[in-house]
Amino acid sequence: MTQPNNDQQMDRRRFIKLSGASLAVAAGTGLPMLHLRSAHASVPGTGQAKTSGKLNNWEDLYRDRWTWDKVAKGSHGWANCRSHCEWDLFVKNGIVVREEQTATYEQSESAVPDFNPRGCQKGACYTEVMYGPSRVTVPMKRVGDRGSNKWEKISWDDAIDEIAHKMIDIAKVHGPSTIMQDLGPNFDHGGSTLGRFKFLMKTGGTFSDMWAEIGDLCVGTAMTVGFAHTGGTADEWFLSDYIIVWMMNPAVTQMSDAHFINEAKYNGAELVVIDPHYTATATHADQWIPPESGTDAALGLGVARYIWESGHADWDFVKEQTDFPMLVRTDTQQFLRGSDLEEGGDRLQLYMWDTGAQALYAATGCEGGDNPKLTLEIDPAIEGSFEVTLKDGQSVTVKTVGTLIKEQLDHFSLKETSRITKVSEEQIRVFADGFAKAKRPFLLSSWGSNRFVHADLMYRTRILCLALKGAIGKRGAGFSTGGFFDMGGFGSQLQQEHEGLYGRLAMMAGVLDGDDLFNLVVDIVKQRKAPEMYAHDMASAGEKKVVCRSTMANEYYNHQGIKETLDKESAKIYKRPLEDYHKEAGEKGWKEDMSGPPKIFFTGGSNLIRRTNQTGRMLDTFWPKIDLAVAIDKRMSFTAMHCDYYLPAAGWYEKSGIKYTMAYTPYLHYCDAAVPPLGESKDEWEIHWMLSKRIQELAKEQDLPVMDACGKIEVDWKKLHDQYSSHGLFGAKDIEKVTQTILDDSPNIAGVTIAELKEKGIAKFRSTGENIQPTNQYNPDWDGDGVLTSMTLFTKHKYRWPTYTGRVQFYIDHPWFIEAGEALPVHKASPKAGGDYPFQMVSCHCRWSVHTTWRDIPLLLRLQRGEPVMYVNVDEAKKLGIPDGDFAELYNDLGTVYMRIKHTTMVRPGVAYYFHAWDPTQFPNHKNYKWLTPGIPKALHMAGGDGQLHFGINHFQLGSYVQDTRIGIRVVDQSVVAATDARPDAGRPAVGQSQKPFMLRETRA
Amino acid sequence: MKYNVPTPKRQVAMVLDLNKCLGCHTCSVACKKLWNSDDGTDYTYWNNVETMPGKGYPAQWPQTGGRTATGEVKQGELPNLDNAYGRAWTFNNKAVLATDQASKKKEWLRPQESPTWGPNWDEDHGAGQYPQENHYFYLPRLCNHCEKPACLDACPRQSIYKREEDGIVLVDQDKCHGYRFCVEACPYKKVYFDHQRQVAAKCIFCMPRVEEGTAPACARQCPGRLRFVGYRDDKDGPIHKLVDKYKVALPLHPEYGIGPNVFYVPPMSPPKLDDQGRPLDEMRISMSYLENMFGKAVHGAMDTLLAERDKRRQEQPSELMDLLIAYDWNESFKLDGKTREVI
Repeated sequence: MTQPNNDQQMDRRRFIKLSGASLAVAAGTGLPMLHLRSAHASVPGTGQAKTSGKLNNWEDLYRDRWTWDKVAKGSHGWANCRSHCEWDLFVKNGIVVREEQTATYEQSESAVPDFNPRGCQKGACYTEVMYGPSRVTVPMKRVGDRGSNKWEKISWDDAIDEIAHKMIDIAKVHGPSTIMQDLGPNFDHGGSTLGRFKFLMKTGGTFSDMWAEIGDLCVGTAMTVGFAHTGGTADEWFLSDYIIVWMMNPAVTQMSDAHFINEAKYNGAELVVIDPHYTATATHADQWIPPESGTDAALGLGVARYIWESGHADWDFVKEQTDFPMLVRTDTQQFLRGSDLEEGGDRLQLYMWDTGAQALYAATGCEGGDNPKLTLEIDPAIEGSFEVTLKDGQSVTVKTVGTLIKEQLDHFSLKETSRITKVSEEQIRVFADGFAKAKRPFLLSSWGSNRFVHADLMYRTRILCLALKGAIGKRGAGFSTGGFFDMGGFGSQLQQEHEGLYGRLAMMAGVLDGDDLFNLVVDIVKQRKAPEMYAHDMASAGEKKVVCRSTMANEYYNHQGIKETLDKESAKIYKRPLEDYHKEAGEKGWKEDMSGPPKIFFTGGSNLIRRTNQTGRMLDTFWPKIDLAVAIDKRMSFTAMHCDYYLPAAGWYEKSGIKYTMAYTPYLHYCDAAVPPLGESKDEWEIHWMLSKRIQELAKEQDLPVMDACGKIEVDWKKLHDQYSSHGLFGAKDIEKVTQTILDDSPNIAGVTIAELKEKGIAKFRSTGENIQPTNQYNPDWDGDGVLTSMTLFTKHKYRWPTYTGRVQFYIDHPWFIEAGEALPVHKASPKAGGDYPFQMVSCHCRWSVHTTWRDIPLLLRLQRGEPVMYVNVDEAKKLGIPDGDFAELYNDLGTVYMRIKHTTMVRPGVAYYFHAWDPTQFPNHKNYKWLTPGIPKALHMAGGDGQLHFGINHFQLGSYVQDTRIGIRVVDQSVVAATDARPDAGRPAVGQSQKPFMLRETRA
Repeated sequence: MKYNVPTPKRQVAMVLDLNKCLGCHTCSVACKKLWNSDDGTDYTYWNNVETMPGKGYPAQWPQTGGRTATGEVKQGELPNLDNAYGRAWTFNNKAVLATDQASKKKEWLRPQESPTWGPNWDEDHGAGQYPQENHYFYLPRLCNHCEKPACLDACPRQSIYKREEDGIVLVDQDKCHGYRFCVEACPYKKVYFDHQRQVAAKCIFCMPRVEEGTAPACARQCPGRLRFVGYRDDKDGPIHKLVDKYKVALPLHPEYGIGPNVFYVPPMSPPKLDDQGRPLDEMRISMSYLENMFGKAVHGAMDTLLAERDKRRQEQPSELMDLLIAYDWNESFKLDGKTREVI
């Protein structure tokens, strides 16, 4: 047995620091989506005014255009995009006229390119959204029916007063946890989002995660390595010699980092793009591999077999870091456990086979046992079948996980893999051979890759390929699903009501009961865990205890009137009814439901009704259950249109904030207020400050009793504002002060002041933070210098992974998984959701918008076709008889919508491909493709019990998957579509047909 | 040449590496926000990005123009606003925001002009049979600030001039009478007509920025990091190295005969597949297509690119690869500091 190392020891100070931060963060930062150099004077924004020198020359016309009164540093802090970019905001006559990247990032190392200039075409014209056509800057109250778009201006005081009254009335009857906020876009790490979340938390409302609902949560990663998202800095990609972009399109979805891929090619790397479609990223590939849509797991298994047999597998890594050596009983298909072998044995203790002693060996590092390290003292068998005597004298055969995987892989010859994927054997062989021989293979796969119902299997197989190569947690090799820098201060401030240590201790006292404390002390004394994991585990426990939580997919199932449809869809995947899974998960406490239908709904800038599947049911069944719907937004979204109140939030260049801290660059990005909030709009910190104040006043007047929220916590609205404002520490206009406090409380960035950030825009992190979120890097060594590699805590420091086996885990012996035949990574065909129709409807994150933001901006619409389009392969479209640009009818079991067809050679035949987030109002009848997507869930994702399989925000949860949707496409009489229009086409000039030159002068001089 | 155009003392130039273009149009938006937000130039994109093979913007450019072998300016055609450029569509946002969701008939958000063409109409369309040969690539374009600008010679009023200090070609907005001969004559169709002010307008190579040593917005704002800016005669600068030393950066359509100062590193592409789906030893974008676009020199350029990349695969040094990687992005732009005396 290895002795615990000194580096695990944790002193009391650190313990308090970690625990204080951690449990709060579970609810806060754990909800990410909750979802100069001037050598060549290349930096235009100096912060100073710039006027043009008048030369009395016509050229001054242009010179004068490139002048400004002031430059502020900003970022698109609340955009739900994964980039984070440093911008100069140019203000002239009180208006932000344009933006340009500041571009002052440094190279992490001389051997890698720098991050400059970062940005995209959307960031380059946020000003068009800011002053755009759907911006609304006054508070409004609905005066017609919901969705009638009949509004009346109302004063802030009246709006706040009315909402506060209604909230109290509703909470009295239904309880505070029926207050719901879908966690989503418009999320930052500064004071505005803190206000939004703190208000929700202190009122006892429900945090309903939507990460899996939108199909962005890397559930398969969580199953395999114990956390959904991780990944270091993007410049690490450059160090790879074999980049595999597999289910990602960074040229479109991650524009500011995509250059590293193309530059790696120049550095000698091979670039492989695996995508059924010839994407913008694929145009630069050395190998473009186009599998049949949804067959990626089969391809992964074929490649894994090839690597296994190639002689290039890293068996030392496999033995130490994966569950290959773990023993599984062939009779029950369960791991061999301590409790199988002796009376009172630990069921969390798992076993390997010691090839030297030819005997069982109690594995270190698994959940049972005291040794958290993976370092091997024996040589375990990767393959083999052994006889073991159980405690009752019975003899059973056990096999290693490696053997089970090998048996599984035996089905995936090149020929069979080719048959399923429709990729030629030769092409698979070339790819697999390159993979096997690569020194540093790097897998890039994105959030959108999770949109198949069996996407978890695709992730599990791809990580299997990397594990066989030992290419995880190794510089220049591995995978990135997008990790975060921890902003500990956000979580602390979310929960804390008092300053300093007193505040932290008080917060802990509210969460830690005797058992927690005991377990923690035992863990520390016995040095059973990596220091990083205490915080992680406590965060998880804290979230479970103090946060009312659920997932949107779960609430849709409960309240959207779609049970029948989903049951029918689920029957295409599993024999057991979906309802059974819900029932069992509920009974066993594996999932959490809201106490009833949502009664009060706050939309904080996300666009729920736009993104919901089966939108018709959302509008006619879910939405009417809500008694009070409040939109706090900068623009009139489709969801805001259906609300009762609209409270204008300050826009992105109008308030202080911190762009959410993804790890692609090692910098924090500050968002300054370049101008005051437009019109009457206010930042969210102030809005919730006002609202909590009024609620507290009314609660006191009415002597509102303490209320139970979801059975977990008690809330007292008579103290709501005191709690929100930290007993008066933060005033209504104190958003900057709040943001500064968040910085001060985050150890990896503390010491940086807002005053500095206003000058510089960015600040470099000094460490990855306390690694509290389920989205961190697990690199305890990184100190701000150099390329950041993730997951070295496990591979270099040899601490156990946060999985049941303590290893990168491919075998899941949960009864549901065994029953479903998914204990091992397998390939399963994509079910035909929505009916058996010829086209698979596939969605991709978009080049031209970040969700619905920027979707309705003329400047960008003119660079598209002005309307939503469905991409269809040109040959297929011609066969269907649909001319380029014509409306077609899209249909399946769920209904019919109209959409324009765009011909293209990039899309695989059999697929209807769209870039997502078009607003319903951009379609005839205001019905978009979402009317046709059932949003098929995967029941297994409600599993709980052991190890990494537990419900958690950002971690593991029920979702809904759109990529399996099938549709038919047929010609429609264009006049039928035109007839749905309130304004007939007749009066419009048929400009497109005009052959007349546009020149206004008829003759030349 | 009709007019005597003095050779500029220095010539500023740009190289665009098509192997790094993401097709994101940040260049177009950066340019538009800075220079072209007025009504009269609302339909114009001094910088645009085309999906090639495709019709481009304006559609089917050039429809002649340029110069003959003897240097005479050829007459071209004026592109049509709707069929070739695409009008700056207007949208019914207001009406949509006022639509009662319960009403049977609803206006949906769309251009009010029933468009049939626009600046990026055939985005990602490409050519070729899927999956054997289908392909496309992005071609960002701006004014080439030519050695022998056809637009300049075509102007009867001598409103167009090439600046002595940096070779930037400008249309004098005071002198121009809007005859549009320059629009016709430019084979790249990079002179536009401002229908509000009734004058011709075109890319100014961000002249006010260049004067202060700052790269043009399209180059400096490009997240793909594919643009290099500097002077042709700067032997240490990126332009000289890419264009003259390694000869991997080529002018677009050299046969138009007007000497562009914007150069392109031609695009590599993944191999074609045979009818059994097996990779072939041939890139998807055919060399004959590239030759048609960049001239015969494209073969040598491509060979050099592949050979230098091979060196890096063998972990050997390559100055060219280092340059194209742009480790230190600031080094991509080599302009002088203030060249303009402000009075």
